[in-house]
Amino acid sequence: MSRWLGLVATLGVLAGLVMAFGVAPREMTQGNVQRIMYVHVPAVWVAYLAFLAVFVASIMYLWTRAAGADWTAHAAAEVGVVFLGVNIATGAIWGKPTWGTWWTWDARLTSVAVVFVIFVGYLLVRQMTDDPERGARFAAVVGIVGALNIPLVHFSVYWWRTLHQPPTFAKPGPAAASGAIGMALLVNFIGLLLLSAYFIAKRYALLRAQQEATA
Amino acid sequence: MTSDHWGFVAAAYAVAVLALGGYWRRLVHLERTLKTPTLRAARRRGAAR
Repeated sequence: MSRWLGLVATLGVLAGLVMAFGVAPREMTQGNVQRIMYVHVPAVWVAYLAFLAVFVASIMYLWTRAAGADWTAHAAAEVGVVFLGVNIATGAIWGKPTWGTWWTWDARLTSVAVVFVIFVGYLLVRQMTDDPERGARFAAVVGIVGALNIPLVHFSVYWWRTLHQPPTFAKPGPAAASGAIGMALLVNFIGLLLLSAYFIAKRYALLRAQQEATA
Repeated sequence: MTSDHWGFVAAAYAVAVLALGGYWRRLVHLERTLKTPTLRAARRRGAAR
């Protein structure tokens, strides 16, 4: 199952690259540097979804104390951190030629950095306690608090004056990207979503195997 | 006409490949370290028979 998901995810990512470099047109104002968007934006969407999974699984864990819920939250948090890291790094690389700076402490960038630090903390909390059950409980609380920050990240571009542009989708009015650009964004999102599902499934299986090996 | 900055595009995609590929390698490594003791134990059991 995991192997097939990995294969489909690889095909999805390759299709995304074809769309980004072969089908999507050169953007008029930014030129070809705008092609960074096809990895930058889907990476943050995937990270948001992973953190949403952490939120739901953490509530379930605190409610039921089921190990499966904790493994789901742990796996999704790790994968979310990887994808958010990709989003932040590619954003900095995109920022330099377009804004003239790698980083600026505006509301969007600062709020996304806060979420990144919270979820890195989530992973560290697990290592810092001797009792795994207590670590899982603390991590669940951190995961819920971290995920509650995501609406703040999304709406930060409306609530404060920022250098970052408003969202492309999930905003009032029509989407900012349409035609081939919108399609390339969608295909890349599906590719990275499949890849994240593969990573989460694999990490979940490893966490379960680790638990069984130590039990 | 804007400059295309292909170097920045290549750097962004390279960073993404390194991060995602690196994470995949970490999972494969974890899988191997988990499987190795089991394989060794199975071989030992087989040799004892």
